[in-house]
Amino acid sequence: MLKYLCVPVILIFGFTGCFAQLPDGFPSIHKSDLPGSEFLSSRVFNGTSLYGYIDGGAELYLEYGFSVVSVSEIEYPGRRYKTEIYKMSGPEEAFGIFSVMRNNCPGRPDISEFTCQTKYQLQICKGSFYISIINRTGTGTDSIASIEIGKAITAKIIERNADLSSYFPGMPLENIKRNCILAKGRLGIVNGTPDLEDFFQEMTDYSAAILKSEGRRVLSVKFRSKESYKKFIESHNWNEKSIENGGINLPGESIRKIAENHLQVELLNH
Amino acid sequence: MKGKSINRRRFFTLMGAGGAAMAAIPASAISLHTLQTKTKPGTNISDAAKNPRSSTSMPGLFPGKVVIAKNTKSVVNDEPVESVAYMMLSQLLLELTGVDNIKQAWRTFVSPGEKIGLKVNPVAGKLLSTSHAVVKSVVKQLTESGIDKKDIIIWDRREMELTDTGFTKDNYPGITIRGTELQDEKGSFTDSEGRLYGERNIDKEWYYWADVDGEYDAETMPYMVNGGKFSYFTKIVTQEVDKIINIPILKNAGGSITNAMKNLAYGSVSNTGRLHASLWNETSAEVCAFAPLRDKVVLNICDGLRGCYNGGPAANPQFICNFNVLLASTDPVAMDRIGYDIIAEKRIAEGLIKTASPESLTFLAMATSLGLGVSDKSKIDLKMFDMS
Repeated sequence: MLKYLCVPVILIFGFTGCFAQLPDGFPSIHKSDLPGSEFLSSRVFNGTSLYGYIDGGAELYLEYGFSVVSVSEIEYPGRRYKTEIYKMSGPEEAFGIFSVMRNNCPGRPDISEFTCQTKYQLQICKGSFYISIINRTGTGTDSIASIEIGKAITAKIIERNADLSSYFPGMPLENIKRNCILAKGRLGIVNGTPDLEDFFQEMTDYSAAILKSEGRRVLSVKFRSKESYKKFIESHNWNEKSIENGGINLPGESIRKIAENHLQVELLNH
Repeated sequence: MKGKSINRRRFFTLMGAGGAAMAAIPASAISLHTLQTKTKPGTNISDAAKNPRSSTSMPGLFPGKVVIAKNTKSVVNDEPVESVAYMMLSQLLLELTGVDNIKQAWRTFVSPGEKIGLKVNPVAGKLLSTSHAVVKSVVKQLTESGIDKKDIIIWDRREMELTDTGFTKDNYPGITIRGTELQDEKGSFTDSEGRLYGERNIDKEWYYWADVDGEYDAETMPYMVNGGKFSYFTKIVTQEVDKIINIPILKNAGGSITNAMKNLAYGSVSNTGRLHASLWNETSAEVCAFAPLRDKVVLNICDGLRGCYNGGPAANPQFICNFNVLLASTDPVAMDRIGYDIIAEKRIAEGLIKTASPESLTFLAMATSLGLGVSDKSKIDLKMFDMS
């Protein structure tokens, strides 16, 4: 009896290439969601099995807080696309990955608050999902098809997006959405804004939202503990009392406290 | 380290002794390694020196010499052009070896009857794999130099990634395609007894030990082959090939570079997941110091026709660009050092960084201290040819 039970199990696991399951609410799309499409292959990687998909590239996702990714090859209609749907541990983590992966977005299709379209890729962040749709030929037709695929996926996501307003109180939200880099940990900094790697040194226990403009950078840094907050201040030889009492202004930088364990630092570019 | 010559108990004794283990490391390396061991998990790097070096050991026949060929016509519509790659490769080999015909140049490194392994890098998928334009050019020049196709093996860690990126028997007739980790035709990683196919392909006589435990769930294990503190070398390098030609693709890894050293190190051993976070530099340098790699890698050819300057080592299309270069060297350390400059120049041009910081390339300094090559740019003999 057992051997008859094993056959379907082997077939299911075999064709998916791994054993991972998608959680409830995962925005999987199927042929019926995208008329004219063919789904050629689908694989799922969760937790550290992400190493099996992108090897060392997995470190960045794991540092942010990664749950599961579904990777599919789709033919639509007659052209091939690779979709990657990453479920991160929350909306902020998903936005963080999106923010370090996007770069010079010539297109921002209106299918989510956070999109970035370049010649070969459409990136989307919605709720706790980071989505990448990659094409092979970079044509206008590919761009349109990518948007259609993206719409089919995002239509299935009902979660709210990350609320970034607390990082920059009083600042126009549109600017934050379009330009903010949200780094969690060293790899977030190295990938998103490598020029600040030395500024954060060995710190790990923080989330840093960074806005760059001509001649200045504004950093909003939230620490997960008082110890980390103090350690960061000490590493820069700043005076904690002065920061608590209205902030400090130094040549090329100003520092003020926004909330408990939360600093805003403005750096003037050299 | 060959497992027969040092058992596990004795190995831990050595690790505990510290000073005794360090004695095998060249004097120039002591300060660096002392520094590392203060904050880093220990490794069995001292074992690497127990196998005597050979005449072909890294950095090979031309230490510190790197040749670059550039050709803006090498990529058309974002596709590498094989005929141009072939010409660039010929120029590189002639310049590197200093001989005047291409057959003789190749025969400087390989001989008929030897099993030649071509170590490619398909990890990032079709968009950012070692190109077929370059690999087919290498195969063509090898066969034109008298190497039989049956003696050429294209290999990497994962056979399924080789297949996905077109390294197949159909595309390379007569050539063997091999991966350490593999799935059967039904997609399963395990045989009928539940044993990973990858287990058959690791050589427990040779290992890189590091004091970090690889603890993986059932879904991750097929990609790691084994957990624990041992990373075993693949039999492809210890038993199946006589010589290795390393053909990485030019990619950034955060602010560092993944090219010749990383391609060899992480592509040749099992249980690598544990080695990324805290021992990336050590692994990239130290695994290459063990005899199967140190003594068999005779040539490195960096595929920089396309590559990436950010978002690496994974493929992120908006950071993939045409560098239009090929590099060749017997010295993987020197080649990585020059490769870093190419990527850093692009990162500066794109506004990602203001200045290059080669001093941050810890793995190259470590590799130099292990005698694997030259990382000091002032000591690198760099020749560049613009063939556009």
